[in-house]
Amino acid sequence: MTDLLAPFGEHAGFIAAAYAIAVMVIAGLIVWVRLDGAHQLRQLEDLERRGIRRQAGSADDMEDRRT
Amino acid sequence: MGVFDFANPTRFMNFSARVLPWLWGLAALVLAVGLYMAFFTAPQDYQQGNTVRIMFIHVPAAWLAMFAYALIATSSIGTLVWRHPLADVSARAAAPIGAAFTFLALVTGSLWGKPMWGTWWEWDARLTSVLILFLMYLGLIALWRAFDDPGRGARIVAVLALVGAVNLPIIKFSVDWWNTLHQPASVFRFDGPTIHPTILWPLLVMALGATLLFVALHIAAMRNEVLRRRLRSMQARAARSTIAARAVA
Repeated sequence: MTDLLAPFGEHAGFIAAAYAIAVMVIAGLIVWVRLDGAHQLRQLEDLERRGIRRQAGSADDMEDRRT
Repeated sequence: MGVFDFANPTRFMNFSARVLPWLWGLAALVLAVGLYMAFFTAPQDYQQGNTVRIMFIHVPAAWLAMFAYALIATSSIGTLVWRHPLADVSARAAAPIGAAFTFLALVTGSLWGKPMWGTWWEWDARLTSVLILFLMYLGLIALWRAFDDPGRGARIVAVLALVGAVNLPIIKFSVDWWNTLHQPASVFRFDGPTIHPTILWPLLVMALGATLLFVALHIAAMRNEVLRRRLRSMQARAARSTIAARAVA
């Protein structure tokens, strides 16, 4: 690890920390949107399995029928 | 079909489902090229040495922190003027992503500031106004969460978001209006960038990659918010049906 950072000189630790935190924050955002999306879809499928569907006549529903 | 035709939740869901995989891929590709340029083609800065490489994540994060808030403010106009449900969905989806990029700008700035300025933090105009932006994001997120029905909270949060937009020009011009440790603008200037092209190009490629990533995250978060609202209305309908059935029985 020390060898890997050596080319970046005396401030290598600051550079490595900045990139590590950036990777963690971005990975966190990606995981959050993926898990949240999967959670919403699971709950929607669960409701539809119980026979609850989107309201007929809603704006979305009208659009669905048109397209 | 015009652009405004996509401002329908179902059309947005259909269109975004097709576009999103390409956006993720393009963002990853551009960021990979940007990181290669940042570490293997960009030279050291003559004053800052290798710490200039922190700039390739700090500056795009700071730009996106402001861009996300500008997007929230623009969406808030859509909520207040046209009461369009996708406008509130857009604003709500952008807030956590904007907060994350603002946090990243603050932390990477601090990590760059310590070796260059000799301090992790300074209460100067630029740093303080960006910290205020971060707190405003947290405030908006908390206010949205305070309402069970997103439709009720949308207009109140939109007004607050628009008031908070006054912070954006303060952040941008803080380095010109006050004495600050932070360097003045060096890319978007009337007389052109002051950064050497060997450092400017990796920065622009990283900024493009980060922007594509932001757009992909925002669209994915908007899709989740549309699904959340559909789910909420279906649950409410199911609850009403149950109550009606009990009343008849």
